[in-house]
Order: sequence, then structure tokens, then C-alpha cells
Amino acid sequence: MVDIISIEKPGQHEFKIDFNSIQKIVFDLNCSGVRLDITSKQKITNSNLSVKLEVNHYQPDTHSKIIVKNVLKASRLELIGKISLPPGVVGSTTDFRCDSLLTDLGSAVKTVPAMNIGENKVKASHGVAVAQFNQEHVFYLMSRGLSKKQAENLLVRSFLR
Amino acid sequence: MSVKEQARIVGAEELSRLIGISQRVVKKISLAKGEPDWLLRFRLEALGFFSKMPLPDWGADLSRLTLSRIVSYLKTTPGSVRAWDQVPKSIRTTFERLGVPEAERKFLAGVGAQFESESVYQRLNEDLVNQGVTFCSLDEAVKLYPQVVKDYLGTIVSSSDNKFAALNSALWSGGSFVYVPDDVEVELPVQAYFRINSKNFGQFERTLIIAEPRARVHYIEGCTAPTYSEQSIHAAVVEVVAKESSKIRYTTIQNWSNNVYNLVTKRALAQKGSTVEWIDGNIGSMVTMKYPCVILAGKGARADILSLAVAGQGQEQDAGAKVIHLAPNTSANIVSKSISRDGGIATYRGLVKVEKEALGSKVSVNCDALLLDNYSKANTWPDIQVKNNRTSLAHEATVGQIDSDKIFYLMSRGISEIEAISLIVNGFIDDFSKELPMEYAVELNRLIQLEMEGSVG
Repeated sequence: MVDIISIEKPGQHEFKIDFNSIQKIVFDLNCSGVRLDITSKQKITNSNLSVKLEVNHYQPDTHSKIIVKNVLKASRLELIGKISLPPGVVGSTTDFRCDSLLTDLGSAVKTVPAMNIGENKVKASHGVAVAQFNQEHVFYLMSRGLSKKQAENLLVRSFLR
Repeated sequence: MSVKEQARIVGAEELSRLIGISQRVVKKISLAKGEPDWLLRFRLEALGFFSKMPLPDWGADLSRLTLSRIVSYLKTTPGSVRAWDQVPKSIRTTFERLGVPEAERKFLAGVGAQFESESVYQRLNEDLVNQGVTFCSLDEAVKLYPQVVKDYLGTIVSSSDNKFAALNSALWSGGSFVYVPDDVEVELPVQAYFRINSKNFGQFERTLIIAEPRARVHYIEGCTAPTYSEQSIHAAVVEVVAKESSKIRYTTIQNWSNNVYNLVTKRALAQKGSTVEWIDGNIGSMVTMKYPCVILAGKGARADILSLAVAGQGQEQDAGAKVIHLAPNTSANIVSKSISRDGGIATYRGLVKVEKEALGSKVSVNCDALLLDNYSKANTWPDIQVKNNRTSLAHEATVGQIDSDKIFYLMSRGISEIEAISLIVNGFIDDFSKELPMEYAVELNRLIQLEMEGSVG
């Protein structure tokens, strides 16, 4: 199943997507002045997911910002991101963030934030981070009387905020 | 007739030039070199892999690569010598122009020079020889230390790894063999210089570096070729073994001419507590596909990979880095810089794989790309896989152009536009050039400056 979303009107466009329910999603930015914000924050439990996310900038002055946050528990996630800025899309910008929190040893994450850039008057960046619970944070919360589980739940909530 | 007798007969007629890739060519090379049976079998097996494997369906464009008529072996001198004045004059002049003998006098512990298929010069400081360090061509090592070569050859990069590793395994000639015994520290770098001088030529250099426990060595590789309209290919395989607590640094300054396909497989095995550093500069060649790899197999092993790619007109630099974490508490640091101009294509293709057993690993990846005009391309393809929850990983990448404010500022101080651009570019690659020995850093900055001339920001 592939969702193709074509954006034809300038201005702010916000999308919230959940990796638990999609396999491939494509955003085509067909109009100058588009600001696309994609946020995807999810807990993934007991699943094996493979997601493709594509953003194609087809016009100058198009902007995309993608924030992905995953909390994995007994799960595997493969995320292939593909962002293209072909020649001519002057003044466009893109930023792709993908942070994953692995809560147990059985989880694994594979991220490929690919970019194809053929225009120099653009700004493009991506960042990927993979981490586990900060043991000092867990310890601090537990010293305040929270159980380990409560402490971890609180940290998951703050991570997904 | 035994293989050795056959070799004597073929050797007598003095092999100098072979064309194409076939069993006959492989056998001729092996016999002329007087190789043991196991090595001939190794070559023939690799040839089998080569003919079965397809060209990679990813990465740089290899559709115009023709291997059928390539000169696969070319010998220009009777053998390798230990003094420059014994090197034939025409070849000596080439290396003198490249400044190799001068660099050797000034700041190198040892130098090897390869011209076409064979090594023409090899020398190492007396002190190091006495400490048991070996630096020679791999061909020589097969004769002097057959068991060591047999134990390690093809163990890090197997001949079925990829099509060009198979090709190299079948046809290899020359390359370096570096062996550093326990606790020996080689303070000054050793350098190997590779030169392709004829057209339509295939250079299949094979390098094996072994550092025993607590040894240290810095190996530098330089590559050049004159420009012809016909393509040449440099398909090298480099295998590095870093044993417990050793440290190996491998620096490459690749400046092939724009008719060379540079398809190289480089891989290191890092054992407990060791450090492997790849400093990989790709400035020349028409097409480069090279992803220096470190397998962190022992606890606490460390990988440092610094890569620079400069893609100009008609060039495609498909470079990157691979790190595979197999053991706990291993760490990796990857920094990649690329510059694309005049229609060049620079790609960062990286792999970071943290296996389940590699608890407590740390990874940091940074790749920055600079696009100097709007018809060049920069691509990134970082593949990041983490399979345990005791790892911290951060990856950052940016692509952009030179900030026009910075150019304006420098120009307001009386610097011309081109000077300003090359100053900013030199600043951009500073992370890379500061890791080079002084003389090379100066040379690199000058080279970049020359490359930038005529390119408008």
C-alpha cells in the first residue's frame, strides 16, 4: 500500500503519521512556498515494521521538516527515508530527524536517511540518534520514590513530547 | 612437470605484458612469479568468482567500463631495488618529479614505489629492519614469508566478496606487505607510491598489513597517473589486521587522472583494544567506489574513519565508510567531507552496524557536503543498524553551499573571490587535512586551490 500525497497549495502543511499503520508514504511538493511538517511519534511494541518515507521537492522555495521519534519494545523497525532536491529547487530546505529509544535487548532499528541533492542553493541536513534509557535519569526518578517501570514510562513520555 | 619447472621455463622467456582476463593470463602471471601451488589455486578460484559475479547494481555508473582489452600485467624493470640510482632513469625521473625520494629523505621511515604491475623500489630504515619490521612488496613476501601470507591472504577480504575483489585476487601483482612485530612502534610513516603510466592498463595492487600486539604503524599510500583518453582501472584490495592493543593508521591520497576507474576494497579487522584509522582522500579518478571498512571484533576496539571526496568535472566519487561492531565497548567515529563542483557527483555511502553482542558501543557519524554550483550533485546513503539497547549512536549530515556572507567578508578585507572560496574550502576540509603529515597537508591545500581555480561559487 502506497500513499502519495501531492501538495499543490503554498503555506504550512502539517502531517502526523504513525508507522504502525503505513508501509510507504510519498510527499510531492509541487508548489513554491510550501512548508511541510511531518511528525511521527510512536511506540512500537511486539512488531516488525518496514517503512519507506519519501519527500520530493519539485519546486523552488519548498521546505520540509521531518521529525521521527520511536520507542521500541521487542520490535524491529526499518526506516528508509529518501529526500530529493533536484536541480532548480533554489532556496529549498529540508531537515530530517530520527531518534529511536530502544527499551530492551530484543529490539533493533535500521535507519537509512538518504538524500539526493542536485542544487547548491539549498540547505539540507539530517540527524539520526539511537539510545537507551539514561540510567542516571532512571536512578534519579527512582530515588524520588518512583518504581523502575514508572520512571521508564515517564522518560518515554518526555522522549515522545 | 612440476609447477616450479614450468615457472622456470616461462620465467626464462621473461614475461612483460599480458592482455585481457582469462585462465591463461592468470596462470602466466603465477608461473612467471614462481608462485606456490596454493596461490595459483587461490587465483584461479577467484577468477571463477569474478566471471560468475555481476557488476554491482548500485553505486557509481560502471556501464562504460570495458575490461576485455585491458592490459592486465605490465612489467617494466627487471626487479625491485633498494637504491634510487639503480632504478631505470625514465622511471626514476617520474618519481623524482613526484617528490618521492625527497620525501623519503625528509620524513619517511620507508618507501615503496610501484610502477605499473611491479614494485621498482623498496627500502626501509636499518633500525626498523633490525627490530624485525618488514616492508616489502607482497610478491616478495610470498617468497620470503610464505606461511604468513598464506595464513592471512584473503581472510579479511575474501575473493568472493565482490566482483572487483575477485578480479584483484585473480590478477594481483605488487602492493605492499607490512609486518610489525610485538611492541614495536614505527614512529615515522612508511609510504607506498602507486603509479600507472600506460594507457588502458589495469593495476591490481594487493596490500596486507599486520600489526602484532601493541605494535604501531602509519602507512601512507599515494596514487597518480597521467591523463589519456583511454580508461585504466585500479582495482586494489587492502587487508589490515590489528592485533590486541595495536594501532594502525592508513592514509590514502588518491589523485588518479580523470580516466581511471578506482574500485577498491579496503577492510581492517580490529582485535581487543586496538585502533584502526583510515584517512582516505579521494581527489582524482573518473569513478571511485571505495568504502574503507573496520570490523570491530575485539572488546574495546576503536575505529576512526576520516574521508574526503572532491568531485570535479566528469568525476563520480562514491566513497564512504563501513563499521561493523561485533564486540562490547567498541567505538567508531566517522567524519566525511565532500565537495562537488563543475558537474561532479559526490556520494557518501556508509554502513554502521551494531550487532546484538556489541553492548556499550558508541558511534558518531558526521558527513558534510559542499556544493559549489547548481549542476553538481551530492548524495548521502547512510545505512544505520542498531541491534541492542546499550548503544549510543549519533549521526549528523548537512548539505549546502558556501555562505555568501563569508565570501563577502573576506572580499571586503581585500581578498579576491577565488582566494576567498579556496580559503573557505580549505577551512571546510580542515578536519581532514590536520590529520595528514605536514608536508601532505600543504600539498593537499595547494591541490585544492588549483582545483578551485576557475570554479565560481
